[in-house]
Amino acid sequence: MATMVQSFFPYIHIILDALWVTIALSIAGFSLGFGIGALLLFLRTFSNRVVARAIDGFIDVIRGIPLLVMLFLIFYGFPALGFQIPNMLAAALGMGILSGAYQSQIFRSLLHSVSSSQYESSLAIGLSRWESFRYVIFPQVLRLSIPALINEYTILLKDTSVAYAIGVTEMFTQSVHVSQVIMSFTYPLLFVSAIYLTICFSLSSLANHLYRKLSYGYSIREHIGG
Amino acid sequence: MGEVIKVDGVWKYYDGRAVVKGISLEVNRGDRFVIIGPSGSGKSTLLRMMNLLVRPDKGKIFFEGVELTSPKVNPVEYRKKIGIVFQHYNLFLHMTVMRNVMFGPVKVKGMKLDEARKVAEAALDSVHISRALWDKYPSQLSGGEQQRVAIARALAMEPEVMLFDEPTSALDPELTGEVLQVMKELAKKGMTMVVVTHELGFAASVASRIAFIDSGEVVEEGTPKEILFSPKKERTRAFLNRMWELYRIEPEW
Repeated sequence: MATMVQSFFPYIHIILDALWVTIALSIAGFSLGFGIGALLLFLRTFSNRVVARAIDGFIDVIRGIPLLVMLFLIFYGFPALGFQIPNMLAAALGMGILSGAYQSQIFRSLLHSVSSSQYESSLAIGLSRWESFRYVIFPQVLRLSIPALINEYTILLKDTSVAYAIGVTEMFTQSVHVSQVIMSFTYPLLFVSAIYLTICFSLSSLANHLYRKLSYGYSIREHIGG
Repeated sequence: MGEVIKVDGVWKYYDGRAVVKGISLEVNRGDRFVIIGPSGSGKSTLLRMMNLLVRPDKGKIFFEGVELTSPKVNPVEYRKKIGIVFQHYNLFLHMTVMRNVMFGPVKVKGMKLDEARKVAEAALDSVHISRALWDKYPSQLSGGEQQRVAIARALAMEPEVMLFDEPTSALDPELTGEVLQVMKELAKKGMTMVVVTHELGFAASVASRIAFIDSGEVVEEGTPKEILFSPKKERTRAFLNRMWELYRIEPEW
């Protein structure tokens, strides 16, 4: 037992070195998803019924695709169309598209919390529809979305491990490699699990804290005396 | 002195039901045009049509001679000259008081920040919002304070006319006074105003003209004396009877 831990120690830095790949991939996927989510929200809010239906359909289809399938579709599908695509980019793209569908749903559910009178008063002041969205509606949606977005990010962070399947050398991939070298999966996997857990737990605590802080002073708790 | 807003035979339908039925009226420069009438009579819809927040289904709206309802005209260009104050204040919740007031001049007029701040300070002073409140958020203010900030936000755009949509209806009675006071001061400075209100006291003392609207039609229009104290139409009398009852004032007729 002790010898197994000892044999793992020299390889820890290999796993830790890959942490930045994990973080970079999760941030890239999240940012792309954020852009897609915000764009879908804007289009859905200000388009006619037909386009809105089409966007809803698109979101439903995307959300029905498992991440692993999505990554394979992009990584192996693009070369079939004649483009080679690096695996890191394929992973970021696949995660971004999926997360975009989820993030647009987060935004959409919170759009209802922003009163339509906010939109009316920004039009009244002389703003265009796009400016009203950009300066008045979206900042308020975003503010309310922060806790849900943090949770979405923690999911993405863990999902980067799926990129193992297309050969991205992120943290989980490296832990598998180390396991194969020392011929034991126990400690490398416990070690990466602890890293995922530490990051996710800190972020979840932050999200829970922000839930309470970001509600503009209007809170259900105050009304039900909780 | 020339008309600022002209409403020409406008109709508005919601779900096939007409809420505004062929209303025409003119608001001239310097007018304090007060619109009274029962709830659901189409007053708010009429007011929102004046800056095209609501587009009429039939009829025309003119602002300083320009037909806003024309498909060639972009109403966004004209809304900045028409201030509006809403029943529920509608301040931007994610901005401080100061940023709420600076926002229009900066984003719509492209004013520089320091210049916009001066305009905003003057506007906030004119509605008696003290310096201590400038960096607070709307949720930290009383209703009366929020409504006065909303007036300042509209004033900072230096509008040609101010529209008020029941500006005191959402306020506690002890807070309506401070808002009405600000509106009276505005009237004294010569601001052209269109005010939808249930405050007959305000109408009596400030209005230059009053229109009584019921079921989407202008029933009667005239001076405060004519409308409030010697109305000719039975519907106006019935409405005012109910309203004066609230004030416990015996009508003259």
